[in-house]
Amino acid sequence: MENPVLSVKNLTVAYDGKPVLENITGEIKKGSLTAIIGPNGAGKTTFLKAIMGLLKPLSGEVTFGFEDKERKTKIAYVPQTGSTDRDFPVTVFDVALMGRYPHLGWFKRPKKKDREIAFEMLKKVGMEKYIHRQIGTLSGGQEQRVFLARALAQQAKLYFLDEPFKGVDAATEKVIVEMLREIREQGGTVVVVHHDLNTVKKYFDSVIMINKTLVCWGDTESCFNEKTVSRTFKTDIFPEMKTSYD
Amino acid sequence: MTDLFLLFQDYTFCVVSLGSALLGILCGVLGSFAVLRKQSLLGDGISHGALPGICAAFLITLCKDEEILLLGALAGGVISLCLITLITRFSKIKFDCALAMTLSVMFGLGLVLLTFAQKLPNSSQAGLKTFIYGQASAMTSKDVFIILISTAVVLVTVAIFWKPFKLVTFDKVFSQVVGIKVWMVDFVLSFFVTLASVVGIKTVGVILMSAMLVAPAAAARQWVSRLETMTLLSAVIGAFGGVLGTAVSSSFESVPTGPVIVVCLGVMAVFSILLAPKRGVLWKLIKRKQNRKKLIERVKSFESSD
Repeated sequence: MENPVLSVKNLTVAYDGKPVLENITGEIKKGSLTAIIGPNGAGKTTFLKAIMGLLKPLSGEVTFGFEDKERKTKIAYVPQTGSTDRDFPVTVFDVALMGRYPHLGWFKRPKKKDREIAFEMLKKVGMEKYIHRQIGTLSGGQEQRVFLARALAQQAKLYFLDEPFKGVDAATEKVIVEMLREIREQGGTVVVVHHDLNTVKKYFDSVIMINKTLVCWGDTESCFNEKTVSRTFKTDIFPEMKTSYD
Repeated sequence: MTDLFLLFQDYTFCVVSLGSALLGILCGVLGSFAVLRKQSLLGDGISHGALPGICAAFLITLCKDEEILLLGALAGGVISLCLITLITRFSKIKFDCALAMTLSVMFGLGLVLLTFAQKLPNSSQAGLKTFIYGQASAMTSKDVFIILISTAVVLVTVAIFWKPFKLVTFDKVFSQVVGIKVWMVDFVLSFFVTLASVVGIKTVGVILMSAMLVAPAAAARQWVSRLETMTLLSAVIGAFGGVLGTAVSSSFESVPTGPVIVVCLGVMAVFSILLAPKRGVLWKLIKRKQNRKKLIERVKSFESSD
């Protein structure tokens, strides 16, 4: 069997001595689309940050299917909308071009090829008409597409997206899903923090269900069922969640 | 016109306007980053912290050499910067509160030390008080040289590290993911603001220093919407404000240069905030009125067709 692109072993993350995530173990297969699912405060974003190496775990290991020093060109990241300053003076094209920065090193200027890649990716997400627009003039969905184009321009192996479907309309959701599938077809791997239980089975082949501790990590088919969902979301506290996944 | 020509033949005027222009460029460039990093007042905190540094340097060495006093200012600025950073990092106190506390406490300490210093025999010649309001007209070619070196260092560094500086200012998490040492960029940019505040103190004084950083950047942002052009325009506005302020203050007797520069920059900022296309307040008002009129006409046309 092929080596996993990411493996996590006994990962524990704590803030101020209090555990936020405890003893998470699992593997992400190359070419998979994985959803991280859990209620608010379950540690989804913390988990994402810990595996991207932005947080130092209390214990445990995160290893990649590539060299550690290749990380900056092999990992792409799409932040949640609203996490950047919308009034920041950058254009749509500037943002997409930022995806090329890790390939350039810190001193070289972007070349014609980098510009072409950035433009091509904006075209893929349907934003090529907006290249000169300042990002604050876009709608939430359009902004999300531009950040997706930046990640695509990174031409990475492993893509992390933090709630990409939050607050976007149907058209943008469709574009994002298409792009994620295209990444998979080209041998990339995608990990998404996801909120909508209704679309888990439709969009993702693997799930990581967490609520401080791991409930289930594996194929959507075998992992994602009534029992695990109620354990993840503790439906005795939130009874309205019970029907939302079928 | 001939007056202006005569002005440029005046040596003092040339020195002061050159120094002020360079300072305008330095502060304009760094101000763009400071404003976008939501650290507009960082320069203010640092410059106020420089005052106790200056007084302490004088009290310890009893020496009024400018280099020593400026080193004291730098130390005071760095201590303030560290205090603000440490308070925000290790307590739940927010940046604005940490800044306000550090700024006023350090300035208070500075005033206390100043009182002690002024009781010493040679204090009047040291001109410690001029650091509070600045005294641009006393600028020497050595001062200009110090500003020139600082500006050159900052411009070259910003040009070389443009991409990481831009990326960290825009999106910290993404920067970390792609392997930039964010804390290093944070440190360098904050240190540069400290440096600019310290070299600018003699011109505009500790109280008005932050206007030099904030006003050109705020004005520039109104006209353009790319970081590259904003930084460039901010530098141009800063330089222009420096020269204009010097010229205006030279035309009147005993009008202090530093405050006039700050007022010039302020006027340009207000002008930009009101009038800039797309973002300007007046521009928006006019546009809204036009749109409203169009809409009313359209609604009327519906009504008449019924």
